[in-house]
This record gives sequence, C-alpha cells and structure tokens, in this order.
Amino acid sequence: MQSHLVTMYSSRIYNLGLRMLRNNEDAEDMLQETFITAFQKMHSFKGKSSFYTWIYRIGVNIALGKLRKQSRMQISYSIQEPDFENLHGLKIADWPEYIETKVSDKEFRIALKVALDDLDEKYRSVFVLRDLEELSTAKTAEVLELSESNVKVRLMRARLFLRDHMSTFLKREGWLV
Amino acid sequence: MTKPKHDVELQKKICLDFGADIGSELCREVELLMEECPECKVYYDTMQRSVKLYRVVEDECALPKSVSERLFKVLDLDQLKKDL
Repeated sequence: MQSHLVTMYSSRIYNLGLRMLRNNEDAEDMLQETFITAFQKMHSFKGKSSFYTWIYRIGVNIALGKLRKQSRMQISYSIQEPDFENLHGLKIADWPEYIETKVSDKEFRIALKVALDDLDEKYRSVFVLRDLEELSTAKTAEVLELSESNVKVRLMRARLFLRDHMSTFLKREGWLV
Repeated sequence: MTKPKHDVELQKKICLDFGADIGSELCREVELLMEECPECKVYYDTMQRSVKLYRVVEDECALPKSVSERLFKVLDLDQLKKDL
C-alpha cells in the first residue's frame, strides 16, 4: 500500500519541490520529509480530500518551512505594483513572435530560471502554485494561508517581475529593439 | 495634463486583471478594453507570454532513479518495492 502511494505520487511531489525550492538537494529532502510525515500521520487522513491533495499540502508546508528558514538569512524585498498611469504614452517594446521558439536556447532557459530564482519566496510560492501547478486562487490561498486578494496581488507582482526580467534579458541579447 | 478618466479606470482594471485567471471571461473583457491603451496591451501580452514560457521551461521532469531509490530506502520500503 505505502509502496504503491510512493510510486504514484513521488514524481509530482518532487517536481513541486523543485519548483518551490529551486535545487535538487532541497527538493529531494522535501520529498523524503513529505512521505515520512504523511506515513506518520496516516491515521489522521480522513479521506475528505484525495490522498494526493492531502500529501500535496504536507509537501507545500514542508517546502514553505524550508524557504522560511532560508529567508531568515536573505534580505526579503517587496515588489512595487507598476504605476500604470505612467505606462500610458511610454514606448513599451513588444516581443518578437519568434521568442517562443527560443525556449530551447540554453541561455534563454537559464535566464528564465535565474529570474524565478531571484523572485522573493513570498511571490514565488504564489506563482508556482497558481501558474505552474495551476491551483485555483482559492486553493492557493488555502494552502498558503493567505487571503484570496493577497494571492492575486502577489501573483500579479510575480508575473510582472518575471516579465520585466525577461524584457531586460531580451534587450541585452539584442532580441528587442 | 490630467489623464482622461477612462484611462485611469482602465489601468485599475488591468491591475486587477493581473490577479485574475488568464483565459477567463474577465480577461477577455479586459483585453477588449485594452485596445484603447496600446502600451498596456503590449505590457499585458508580454506578461502572458512570459507565463507561457515558464510553463514550458518549468515543465515536470521525471523523478531520477537514484532519488527514487533513496526515497524507498529512507522509508524502509525497499523489499515492498521489489515485491510490486
């Protein structure tokens, strides 16, 4: 039974760990801790949600715990909302259509990953759960213990941070005029 | 010069939209509104494209065999795995 559950869900939990923690070692630690915790607490699993939903939440909490420990040693920062009144009339460079085909380019992939690495944990967690794991706003809010409006604000800021980083990279590479 | 009121309202709506589900009905309505603000449209489009790029780059990878083996060992499920 336990072996079957590990086989079924370990890959998805590991990928969640990779996305949230950004390195293989921490993702593996998180994976192991998640299953150890789940099996220790199996008696408390009431079947109200699916087993995956239950163990997924355990995994997110373990990842968040690790991120919080790390963030004590890092400088946390806030991303300001863009001042849209100032956007009007500015020249905002559009991205060329071929950008999507560049995604196999090693430098481009690294630039995307570095921007996500650089994103503060409080924004990255929301971005990972909403945009990569594709959880709903309500579920993300529940898992991260945030209000839905807070999830929306953080998600917007995360997306804009990543968008701006990509624009900077594309300009540097001469892909944007 | 004071900006037209509709620009300000549009800009607020775009801000809200960044927190809404991409591809939802609300997003489509906002996209229509954004036609009035080409800069905002470009900004919004490139933001959407960056999310799509991330979905490609951060796509799920297979669990490495060594990671799986260590997991089974830590959980003391080695024998059970062999029996599966």
